[in-house]
Amino acid sequence: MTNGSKRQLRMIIDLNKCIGCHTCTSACKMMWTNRNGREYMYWNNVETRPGAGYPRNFQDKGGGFNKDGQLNIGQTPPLEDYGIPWEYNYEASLINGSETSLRPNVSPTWGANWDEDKGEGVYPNAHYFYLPRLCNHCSNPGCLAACPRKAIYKRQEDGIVLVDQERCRGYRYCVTACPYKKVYFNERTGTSEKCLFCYPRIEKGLPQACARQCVGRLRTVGYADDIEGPVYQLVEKYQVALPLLADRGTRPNVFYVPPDSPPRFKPDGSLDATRRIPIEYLEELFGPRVGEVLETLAAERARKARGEDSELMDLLIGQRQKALFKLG
Amino acid sequence: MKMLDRREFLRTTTLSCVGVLAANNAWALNALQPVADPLGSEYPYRDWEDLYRDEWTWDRIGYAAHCINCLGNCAWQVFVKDGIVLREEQLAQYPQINPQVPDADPRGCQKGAIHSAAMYEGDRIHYPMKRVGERGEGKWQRLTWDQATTEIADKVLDIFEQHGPGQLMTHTGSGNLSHVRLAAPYRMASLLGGVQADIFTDVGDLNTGAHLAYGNPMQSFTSDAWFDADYILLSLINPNATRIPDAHFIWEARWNGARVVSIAPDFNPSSVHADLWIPMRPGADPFFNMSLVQVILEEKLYKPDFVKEQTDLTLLVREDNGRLLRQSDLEIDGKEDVFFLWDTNTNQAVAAPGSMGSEERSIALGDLDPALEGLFEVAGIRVRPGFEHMRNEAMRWPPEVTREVTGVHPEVVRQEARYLAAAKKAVLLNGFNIGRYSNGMYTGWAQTLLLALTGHGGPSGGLDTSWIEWSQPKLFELALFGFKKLPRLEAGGLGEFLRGEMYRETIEHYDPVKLKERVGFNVDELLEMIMESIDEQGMPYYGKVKGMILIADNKFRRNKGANRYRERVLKEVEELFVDVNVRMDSTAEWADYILPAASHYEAWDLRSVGFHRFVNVFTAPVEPIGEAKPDWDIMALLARKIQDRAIARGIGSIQDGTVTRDLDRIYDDFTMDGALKTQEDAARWLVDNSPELEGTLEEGAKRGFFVLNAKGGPAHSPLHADKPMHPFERQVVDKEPYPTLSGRITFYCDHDRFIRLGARVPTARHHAGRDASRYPLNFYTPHTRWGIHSNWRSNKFMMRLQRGEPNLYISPLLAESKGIADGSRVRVFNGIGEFFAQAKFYPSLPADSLMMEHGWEPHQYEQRKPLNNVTATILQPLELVGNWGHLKFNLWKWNANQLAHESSVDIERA
Repeated sequence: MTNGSKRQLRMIIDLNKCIGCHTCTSACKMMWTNRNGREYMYWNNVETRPGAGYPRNFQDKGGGFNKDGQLNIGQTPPLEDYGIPWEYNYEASLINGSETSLRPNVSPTWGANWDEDKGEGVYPNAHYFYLPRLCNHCSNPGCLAACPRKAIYKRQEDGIVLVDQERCRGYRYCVTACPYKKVYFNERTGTSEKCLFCYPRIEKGLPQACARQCVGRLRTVGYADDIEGPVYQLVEKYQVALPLLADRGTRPNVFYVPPDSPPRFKPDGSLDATRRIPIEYLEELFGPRVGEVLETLAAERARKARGEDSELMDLLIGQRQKALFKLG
Repeated sequence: MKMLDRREFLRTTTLSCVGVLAANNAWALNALQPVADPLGSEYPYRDWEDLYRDEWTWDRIGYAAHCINCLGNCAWQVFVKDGIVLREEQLAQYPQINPQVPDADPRGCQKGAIHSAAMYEGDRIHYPMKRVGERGEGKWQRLTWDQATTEIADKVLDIFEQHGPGQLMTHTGSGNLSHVRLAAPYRMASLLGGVQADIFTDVGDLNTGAHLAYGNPMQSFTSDAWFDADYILLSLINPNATRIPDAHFIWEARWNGARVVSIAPDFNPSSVHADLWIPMRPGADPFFNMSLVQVILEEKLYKPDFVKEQTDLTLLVREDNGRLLRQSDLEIDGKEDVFFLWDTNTNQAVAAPGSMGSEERSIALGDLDPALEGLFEVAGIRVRPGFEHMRNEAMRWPPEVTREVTGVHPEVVRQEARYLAAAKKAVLLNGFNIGRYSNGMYTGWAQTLLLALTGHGGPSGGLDTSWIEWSQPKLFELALFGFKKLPRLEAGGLGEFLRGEMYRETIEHYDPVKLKERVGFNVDELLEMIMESIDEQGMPYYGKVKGMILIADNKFRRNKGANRYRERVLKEVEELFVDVNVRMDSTAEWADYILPAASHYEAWDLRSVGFHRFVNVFTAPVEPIGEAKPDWDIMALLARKIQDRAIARGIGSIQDGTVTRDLDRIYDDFTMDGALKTQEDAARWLVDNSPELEGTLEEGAKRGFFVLNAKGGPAHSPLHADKPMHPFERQVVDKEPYPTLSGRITFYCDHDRFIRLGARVPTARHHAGRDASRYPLNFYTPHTRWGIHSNWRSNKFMMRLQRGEPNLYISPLLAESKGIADGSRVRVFNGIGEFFAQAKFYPSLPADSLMMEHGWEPHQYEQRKPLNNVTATILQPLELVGNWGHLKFNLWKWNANQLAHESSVDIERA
């Protein structure tokens, strides 16, 4: 297996700061996917977990690599599982008459945020959290391996994975082979498209729209080999950032700081010391180190509470937005 | 895009492939160039990458914020290509105020991020229009501006001629919160003497408990001041959903070591990140907070020095009648607003410095050491400090007692009381839902008491009421015509309740006996107190009007009783209803005339409302759509026509009380004799004349914002150039009196009505809720992350991230018992109305309550039946008192809220 590109751009997403506002999703939508046959796509979305995610039940649709490194071609989600980008009768309902209500033109079946705030559990011990997702620009991309035309490549200078829009012929093996279902087929152009990690912006020294426009300030961007950079510190030095579904074997370059959660209540209403999000669930998503990471975070935070310094907490606080991004 | 089912999707795909291939002249599949290793080596054919680079181009960049009723106020870059806005992106250039505190970049939210699409949506109004069918029928005729404004001007003059002044409502809703958009219609209302309701209380936003205590309900911190708190309590606020650009300071404070606790009926989007979520039964907040007070007192965790200096709890109360001991009790010609404390150093009653009647303008105690306890005698009158009354009341509410109401385990209450008392800097955040409960004033009052007892004020924290009243004298001079003439400023919640005859639904919905048990009065008593407030206590209500000009007010979306309310108001304003609007909202639909207003990116403006010191500049990046005009230009044009028509019809000045309504020179007055003809003129005038803004409009426009200087600081705190702002620093640090009757934080109110309703000191009181009627489910309607009230609520990009239609949150346990599945269509109803919605499972909600985020446009519901069809409301009569120091009608500060969460419902599968 090759190591991929010469350099690798990475993104860290601190789930403890994600407020589920979808500004990232909206920023990406206006930047790239509100036109040209991409209307149904959300290159970036935020889904409530636990939940079926986006596209619906994508985790059950295969993709990625088996333990022996063999590509696992999965299934193509039907359009209903992405959600049809419904339209509204604004003119008919509001401007040229008032007989009808303002309603979607199809019966919505699913969307990029269908299960918002739902989660699982029973009151008062329900639980949920927000999970922003985009293309992981993997070091071993399933999409790339699956493309019979070799129309998907990894840029050597930054590791961004792209679908060559001239070479692609819409075979859609990439759609099925991506375990995150973050490659989308464009029916208008007949090609597959996906998150670009905003390479036109990166090339100009600007972070991705989803990262720069993130008002929760939870996304950190930088190069994997930049030892001074925040990404290296969080992934390698403090090891608090974990990839999503690492067992699919694609070696993602988007990492997550896993979410803490408030304690549960016992039946009599007194406090139960356990976190409400079951650790097993987080391990399913982020692997076996979740518990260890949560303890590291708690210990460092306790230092701050005692008035001591914590470089890790300072990194996650991010005093200046500009310092969250190190693109040099 | 045409919708396709999956089969069509695939078939079209094949066809479109052919099309693309043909178009690209790329039939030469066989000649495909080889690629060696697309993973580990340089890909050889990268010229195509320009495809996406070329999509990221523009002609020019302008700046704007969004002038809407949110507290964001965020600077955006607006990217324009071929005269069309392509997209927007946060400017993110605000300077860091202090190196120890995170900066404010990038302010914004998902709604701002899609405004470039919303502004071109099919609900925009492009031209002046006149109704040609029945009201609400949706039949319109396009008019020229000249035609429309001439007709409206004549009708305004008709109303003045036939009915005299004061018969026209000229109301600007909460949708215009930028400087010029706000000033333009208020200036018009000032000149016409039109009725303008209080926009805080007509939406239910006023934190009346905070006003009662502090004499100022607008006392937020700048949000960066949350960062170094070590204890943050979220109460009736869900900042992750409703304070999107500011929420990061809370979670950064948490990483900085703060304990964050969220109190809410449901495990809401802010609770998910808290260190503790306290599940609160809807409306039970006063009980919980009184229990916190009780624990603080019982465990002696309070700070006597802070209490003695900052609060009125030292003031002596007469044993015989329960009134504060006043100078007028002791001296002939003594003042009603001078009070006494008992100095333990000299063992005598001493006039407390700093009250409204006191000549000393400081609350510093000097050598005085006032008693908090004890029975004393002053000139034969037996007295004791208010502290004892407060304590006696609070001690009735130990957590073991209130548990039955709140559902909170006593251990949890005790634990948080201790955390709060031990905190060096505690911040208690309130959102605007506190004003929407009939007992919100009680909640707020108990919380201010809790903070005062634990010594949290100024630099050590305190209450954050979600509003900062920056000092902007020229803005209000412009809006209120130099204060020479005023609109008929009306108590907002009161006006809506009476004008819309909402009491009819109140009478229908509530059980009179149960209502009195719950809230302390029945409907008859409430109506009697309302009349007393109008007749004797100076609460302004101007009665029925003949015509209505609405600006940025979605009245028929917001008001309770919804469709019934709408019918009554429309009948009342049968002579004229003009709506000035950017889009066809649920109110514009019913107008006689619609005048199209420019949107955020189409007009010059400034905006300061927000939790930060940055005044954003709107540079009109594009021309208004169609024939839309900026609000200032619309009002100027309307004024021009009124003036011209008044002269032509021989109508001169009309006496209106102590002023005249000079309809024959209203344009000259509006424009300062022609100096301020346009929105840009007005914006420039504000920058040139405002002491809090430095530099020129051009300089601001180049940067995208101004930074308020020290002169912009609010009344209660200096604005330091390098420090976050803490409310009441002037009182806590500098010992300036609070703007209250006693000059101190008020916890003893001896107003007749407070005494009569058993509310002399903070106490716990129920809201109405399900136990005041015969419907089994609480129904509460908090703010949504997906709109600012109805703004952007029906936008398709926002709707696609929800479920496409109004949805209701329901506990799966309740749903199962009713045969309701996730996604089912349900009917929600009570005796006064019904509506239909999609049920959405929300395990975080208790099974005795339904929750529905508010703001959906009535026209988004089936049969256009909105959720407010089932909301019957009351008013809190204590919020209507006057004649008691700082408790008198005060725009945006003191009058009764329209309430939202008082009624109850039932649900069934539809």
